[in-house]
Amino acid sequence: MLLSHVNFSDIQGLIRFGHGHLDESRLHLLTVKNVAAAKKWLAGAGISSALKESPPDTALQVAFSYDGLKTLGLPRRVLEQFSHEFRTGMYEENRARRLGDVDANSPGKWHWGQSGNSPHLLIMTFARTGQLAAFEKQIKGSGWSRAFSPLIKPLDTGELTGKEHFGFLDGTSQPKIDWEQEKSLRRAKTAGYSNLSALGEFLLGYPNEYGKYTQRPLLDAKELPPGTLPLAEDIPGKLDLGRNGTYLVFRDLEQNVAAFEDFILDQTGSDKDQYRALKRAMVGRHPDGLPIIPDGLDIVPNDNPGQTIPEGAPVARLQNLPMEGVGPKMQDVWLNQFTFAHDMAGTVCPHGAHIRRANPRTGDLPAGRRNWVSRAMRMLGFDLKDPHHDLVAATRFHRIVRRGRIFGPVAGSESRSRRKGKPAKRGLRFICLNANISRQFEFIQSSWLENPKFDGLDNSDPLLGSRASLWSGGATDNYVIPQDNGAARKLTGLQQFVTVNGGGYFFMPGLRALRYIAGR
Amino acid sequence: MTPQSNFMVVAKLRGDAKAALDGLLNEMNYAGSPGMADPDNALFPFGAFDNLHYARFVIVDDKTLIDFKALGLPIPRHSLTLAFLGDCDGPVDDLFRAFASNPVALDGLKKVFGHCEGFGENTDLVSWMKANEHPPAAAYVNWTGRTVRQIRSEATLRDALHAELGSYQTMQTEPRDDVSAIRRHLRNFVAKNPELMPPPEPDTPTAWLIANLLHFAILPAALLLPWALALVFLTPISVPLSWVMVPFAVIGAIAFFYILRRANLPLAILALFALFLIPLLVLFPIMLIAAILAGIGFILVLRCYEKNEPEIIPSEPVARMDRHIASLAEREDLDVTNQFTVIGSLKPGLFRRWLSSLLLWLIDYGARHIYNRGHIGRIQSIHFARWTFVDDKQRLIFASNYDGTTEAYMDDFINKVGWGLNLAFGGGVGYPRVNWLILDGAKEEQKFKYTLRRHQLPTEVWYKAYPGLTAYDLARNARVHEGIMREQMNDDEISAWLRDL
Repeated sequence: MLLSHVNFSDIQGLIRFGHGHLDESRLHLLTVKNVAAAKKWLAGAGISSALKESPPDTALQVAFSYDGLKTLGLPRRVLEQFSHEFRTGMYEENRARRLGDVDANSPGKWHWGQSGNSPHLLIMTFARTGQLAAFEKQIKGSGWSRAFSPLIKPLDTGELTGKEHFGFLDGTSQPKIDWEQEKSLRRAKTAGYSNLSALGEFLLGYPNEYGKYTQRPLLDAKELPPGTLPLAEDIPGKLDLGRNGTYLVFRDLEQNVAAFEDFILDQTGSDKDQYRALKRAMVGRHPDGLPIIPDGLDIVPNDNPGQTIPEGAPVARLQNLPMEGVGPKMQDVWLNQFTFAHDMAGTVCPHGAHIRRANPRTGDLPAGRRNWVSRAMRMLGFDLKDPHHDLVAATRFHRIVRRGRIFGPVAGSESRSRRKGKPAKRGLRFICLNANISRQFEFIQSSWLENPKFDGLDNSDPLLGSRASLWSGGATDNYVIPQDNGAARKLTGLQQFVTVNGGGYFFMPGLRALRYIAGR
Repeated sequence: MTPQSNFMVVAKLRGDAKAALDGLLNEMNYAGSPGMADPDNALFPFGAFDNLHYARFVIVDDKTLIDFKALGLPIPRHSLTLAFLGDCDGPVDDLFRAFASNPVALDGLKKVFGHCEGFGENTDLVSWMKANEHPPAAAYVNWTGRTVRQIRSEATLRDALHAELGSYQTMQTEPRDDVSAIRRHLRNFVAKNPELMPPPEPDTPTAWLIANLLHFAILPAALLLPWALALVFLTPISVPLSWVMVPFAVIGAIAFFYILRRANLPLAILALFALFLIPLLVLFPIMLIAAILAGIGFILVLRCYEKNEPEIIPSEPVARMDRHIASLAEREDLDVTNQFTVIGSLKPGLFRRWLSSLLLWLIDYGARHIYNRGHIGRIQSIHFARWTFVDDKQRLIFASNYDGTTEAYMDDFINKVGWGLNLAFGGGVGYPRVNWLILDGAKEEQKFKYTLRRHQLPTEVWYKAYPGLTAYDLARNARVHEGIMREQMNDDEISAWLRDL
C-alpha cells in the first residue's frame, strides 16, 4: 500500500498549529436555524487550513456534533458509519458514569451539551490581541444570524499566559504527530515509550498505532463526482469522508482554585517549601513544567549552558538517550525526556500524580534487560519485580492532542485572607483531538484519571477526579505520596477541584469533506 | 491451602419462559442497578455462602448463529439456555449441598430452574444441577488457594493496620523514618488484637494434591512417549537399554518442576528440550524425521485452514448494536470489578474441533500449573476466568471477572496477551483472521472489539463476594499479612511493606 503525502490544504489548521500565537479566541456553540442558510455560510466561510508555514493572523475552525450532521441532512448510511461514542454522545448515561460525570458533574447539571440541549456545531474563532471582534464581524457577514442560533452565549477564553489556573505550565506534554508517516510499528521499536504518534491517531484516513485505519464514514466512489472527496487508502472504490478530519472532544471545566489552594494550605500550614512540595507532588511537575526530581538535585536548565543532562540527574528519569518524538528543542528535552520506569515505587513521582495518570509513559513491554530470554519472560508475564510492574502498559494507544484554552481571570496563588468577595469563574475549555474517542480520550479519562484503582491506588486524579465514592462505599478523596523510607504520606479530604459544566463530541472534517457536507 | 473449584449448570429454557425468568432473576439485583446482585436478596442469598467468590446467572441468547449463513451453512438451532456459574473454595459438591440445605436458596433455585426443561416440583436440586453441569475446558484462578475467608480477613487486617499506622504517625515522637520502630509498633498492635490475624488455612487435601501432581505429569509423560515408541520399535528390546531413559525422565521432570516453580518458563522449556527431546533425537535420528514430518504436516493443514476460512465480521444494524451495547454498558463499571460473558460457535470441521480442544487443554494446563500466582500471561486484573464447551463442542462460552473498564480489558487483551486470545478464540466463527495460531487476530483492534462486544451476553445477575477490592488489592493485602507474620525484615523490606499499608 502506498501512503500518500499529507495534503495540508485539506486539514483544519487547529490540528497542526493549535493557534497558540493568536491570543484571542471564542467558542460558538450553535444550533442550525435554517439548513440552507447554514450550508451557504459554511460553504463560503473560509475555514483555516493547515497549509501556511507561517500561521495567519486570524483563524476560523468548525466542527459538527452528530445532531448537527443529521440536521444538515447527511444520509443515514453515512451517519451510521461514525463511531458509536460520537453518535451516542458524551452525556449518555453509562458513558457519563465511566467518565466520572456523576454528582456535581452529571449531565443533568451541565450548562450545555446534555440531551436536548446540545449544539449542532462548534465554531472557533482566533485572532491576535484586539482583532477578534473585527474578525468575527467580518466572518459572520449577513448569513450567520440567518443560519444559526446560539445555544448559549459564546464561550470566552482567557489570556494565554501559558499557565493554567492551578498555577502550572499548561500543555507541557503533547504527542508529536508523525506527519511524515515514518514511525516504525515493529515490535522492537514499540517496546519502550515513544512520544511520536502515528498520524492516524489524530487524523482519520491514515494508519493508526495499530497500523490500521480507524473506522470512519466511507461512500461509494460512484456516488459522487470524482474529486469531491479523497479516496480511501485502504479500501479501493471508496471515498473517505473522514480523511483529514478528526474527532474533537470539548469539556467545559470549571476550576475551584480557592478550594485547591485551601486544601494545600491546610495540609502544609505556613511552610512555603512544604506548600510547593505538595503542589508538585500532586501534579508531578514544578510550576514551570519541569518533572519532579529528587531532593538535592535542583537543576535549572539555564544554569546548564552545555545543554547536556548530568549523569543520573532527575530521576523520574530524564534519560541520557534521546527519546523518539522529544526534542530537538532543549526545553522539550528538559520537560519530556523521561519515563517512570525507574520509579516503580512512586517515591520520586507519586503513582497518582496528574502527569503520571494522564500519560504513564509506558512502552508495550515492561522495562527489562535486553536479551531474548528476558524479553520472552516479560512477554509471558514473568520477571516482574515490583507489584506495580506492568499494571499500566502501552501508552501509545492512548494519546490526545490538546487544544484547550483557559477562561476567566488568572488567579495566582492567594492566601485566604487576601481573597475578597465571590471568586470569579475560571477554568479550562478543554479541547482535544483524536481519531478514536473511546480508545483515546475516554480511555484516558475513565481508565486512568477517574479510575479509583489506577495503578493500585484508591483514588482518582488529584486535580480532575470526581471523588465519587466506590459503589461499595469506599472513599476516593485521598492522595498518597509514597516515601522512600517509611510509610506513605496519605492525605484525605480532597474536594472536587474541577467541575464539568458541559461537553460534547464533535467531528472536525477535512475541508473537502466540509464542502461535501455544506454542498449537499 | 484450600483449592478453588468452579461450576456451570446449563439447562434449556421452557418454551416461553424468557420474559418471566428475566423478571425473576432481576429480583436478585439491587433496585436500579441491573446485573448487580444484592448478597442478601430474598430469592438467592449469595452472601450466605462464605466460600463463594463469584456467581452469575446468564440467559444464553446467542444472536450470532446467523453468521453460519455467511459460511454457506445451515443456521444451527440452539434453544435458549440458562447458565448458572460460579467459583468457590473447596469442592463444588459441598457448595451444592449447602445451597440445598439453605431453605431460602433452595426455594429460590427451584423457582429459577422451574423455568428450565426437565426440572419439576419433585426434582432433587443437587442431583439435577450435577446432571446439568458442564466442566470447563480451561479455567484460571488468579491465586490458587486464596479463599474468600482469607480475602476478607486480610482486608480487615490491612484496614486496621492502615488506621493504626495513621494514628501512630500523628502521635509519634521518634523520627518518621525509624521504620523498624513503626513495624514493631504494628506487630505489637496485632499481638494485642489477635482477632485481626487471619486464621491459619487448613492443610491442602491430599487427594487434590495427588490429582494435581498427576495432572502436572501429563505433559512430561507425553514428551516421554516418543522415547517409549523409539525404544519399542527402533531397538531390539533389551532391558538395560530401556533404562537409559529413566535418568533423563527423572532429572527432566524434576528440573521442569523446579524451574516452573521459580516462574521461569523459557528455561523450563529449554530444560524440556535438552533433557527429553535432544537426547532422543540424537539417539534415534529417525524420530527427528518423523517429528519434522509431523510438524510440517500440521503447519500445512493449519495454514490451509487459516488462509481459506472466510473471515466473517457481519455488520449488525446500527440501531440494534447500539441497543445491545447499551444493555451491556448499563451493567458495567458500577463497582471496580466487571463481569464478562461471551458465547461463540466453533468453526465447522473436525480439525478446528480438535485443535481448539488441544489448545484449551494447554491453556488449562498453563493456568493450573504456571499461571496460578496472580497473573495469566501479562494480565494481572482477572480474578477468575473459564472457557467451557457447550452443545457437544459446537459452541464455547468464556466467562471472566476482571478489574477496570471494558475498554481497558480489551486493551489488555490486544496489547498484552493478543497471542493468547488468538490461541483460545482463533477457531471461533467471526473472530478476526489469525495467522500461525498466534499472529494478527486480536491486533485487528476494531474488528476484535466489535466481535467481542457482539458476542457478549448481558449478565442478568452477578455476585462478587468482596466488592471494592481488585486483584491488586488482594495481592497487596496478602503481602501485608505476610509481612506482619515475618520475624525478620531489613529496613528496605520494611519500607516496601509500609508502602503497601
